Amino acid sequence: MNAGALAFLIFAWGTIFIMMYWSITKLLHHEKQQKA
Amino acid sequence: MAEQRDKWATKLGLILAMAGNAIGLGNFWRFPYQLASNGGGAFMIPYFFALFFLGIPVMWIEWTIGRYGGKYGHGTLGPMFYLMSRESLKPKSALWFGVLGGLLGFSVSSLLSSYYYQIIGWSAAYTWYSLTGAYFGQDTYKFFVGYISNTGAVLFFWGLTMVILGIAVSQGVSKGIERWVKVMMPALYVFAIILVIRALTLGSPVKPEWSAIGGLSYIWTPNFSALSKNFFKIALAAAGQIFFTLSLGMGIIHNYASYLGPEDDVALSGLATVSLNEFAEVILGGSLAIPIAFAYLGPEKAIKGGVGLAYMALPNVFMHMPAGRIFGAFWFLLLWFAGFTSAIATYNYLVAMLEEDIHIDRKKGTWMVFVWLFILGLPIALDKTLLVLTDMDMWVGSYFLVLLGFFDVVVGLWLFKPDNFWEELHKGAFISVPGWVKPIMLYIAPLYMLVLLIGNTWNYAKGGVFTLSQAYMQDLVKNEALISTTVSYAKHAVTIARGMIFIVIIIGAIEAYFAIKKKYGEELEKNEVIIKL
Repeated sequence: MNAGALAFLIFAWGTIFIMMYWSITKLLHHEKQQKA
Repeated sequence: MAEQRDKWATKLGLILAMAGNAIGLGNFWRFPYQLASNGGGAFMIPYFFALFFLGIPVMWIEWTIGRYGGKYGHGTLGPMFYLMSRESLKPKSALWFGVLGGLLGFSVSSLLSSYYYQIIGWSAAYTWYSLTGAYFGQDTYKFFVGYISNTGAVLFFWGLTMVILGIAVSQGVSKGIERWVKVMMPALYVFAIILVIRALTLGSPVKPEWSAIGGLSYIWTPNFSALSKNFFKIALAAAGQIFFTLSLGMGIIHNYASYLGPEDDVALSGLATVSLNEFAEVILGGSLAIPIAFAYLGPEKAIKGGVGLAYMALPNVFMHMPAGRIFGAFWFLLLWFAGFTSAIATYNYLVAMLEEDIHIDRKKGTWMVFVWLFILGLPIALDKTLLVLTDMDMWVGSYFLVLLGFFDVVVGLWLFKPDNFWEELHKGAFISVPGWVKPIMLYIAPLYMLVLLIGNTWNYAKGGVFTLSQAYMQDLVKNEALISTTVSYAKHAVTIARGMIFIVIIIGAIEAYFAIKKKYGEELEKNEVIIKL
């Protein structure tokens, strides 16, 4: 895989991972807080 | 006051249900062939552009409209659009937006289900055929044609899927749909991750220059020259894929959001739905069919796999792969799970309509919808050329979804008024949506959808799709029909599809008109807002 493709892949996958991790953990955190 | 409606029991259940709603065949079946046939890396650039300017904004709009409608006890689009339009229009004028929303929501749920459930049925059949090795050692194209031509098998696997769907939906939202997705969604991710690990460790099993990593490279090499050559075509395909994959413009996001409490978060939940869907599509879906096909069939066949990539090209791979029966079964079960968790949503939309508008008990309504969808699906199940399905998919995918998305903006933002919408979006919100998103929602997203509608219409008019020109019919016969057929049969198939669409639109409009009149008759008569929560 060439460098351009690798950079695009890392950028796209990384952004999606971060967005998913951030949104799900924040949601679960808020739910826990609401229940408490 | 609104009647007591079923509600999501937990936030996790809601998010899994919404993710299940969005993650469907679009992620694992449609995305790879759209990607392959639109230049790989060239497709990904407009894809992300459409995700940002179209997908995320419309997702927020649909969650907000749905929760607003749920407050008044509605899970369908007709009354939702009516209620929001009243903010700018008199009830009698708002009624027409309600009718428009109702007919679009009913049409998409009915028409999409008529062929989408068939494809889920194919996945059920191929899970079984993989486990038993039925297609091993055979020509996979002929095997697929043989399956589609075997009416008994098609009806059995389609019917089985519909019965299981009926059971899940009849149990209700919190006790049915939520419980089912809590098992199916984690299983779906596990299946997909196992398959991705297998796909990316395939190496070069056939030829040294054919590899799974080569497939990834094809997807992720930004191909600006291919994009500039076919910019409009690729951009339209990418925007269409965003609609399809996020289940936007279908009424089903609205419907699921209607089971929220009036102060439940929609801002962060909408974003979480998008991110879970994109993980399943871009990371998992993008690392399966194309890399596997690149490794076993080579780049040329992988790129030209088209619609048949999942059901014709990949079985050819599984039969030569070590433990191919197991991996084949995993792949098709993954498709079945993905399709099923989305199909529950379209099914539930129709059941909610009967339950709320005509006060039919959920269990009875479930089986009435079963009969309705069986009647609608029958011409597709019996058509061995798949031309009825192709024409139906073209209308639903290119027009209905985008039109509904466009009217989401017109009603949810413009008529409901932008400031009201912004306030509604932030009620109980766990995050604050940045202010610069507002002009994207107000102007860029609807403009994008208008371009999409005009672009599709232009392409279809040029291709003779509306007039059924001789050239178009010959193209259908040559390139779209699964088996060899005649122009006169193709015309017959297309006429059936369009006739069905016409009838469904009429029924949807009548239903929405009477549903709104029944509940809001008094204020329609006086032409002033009376019911306000």
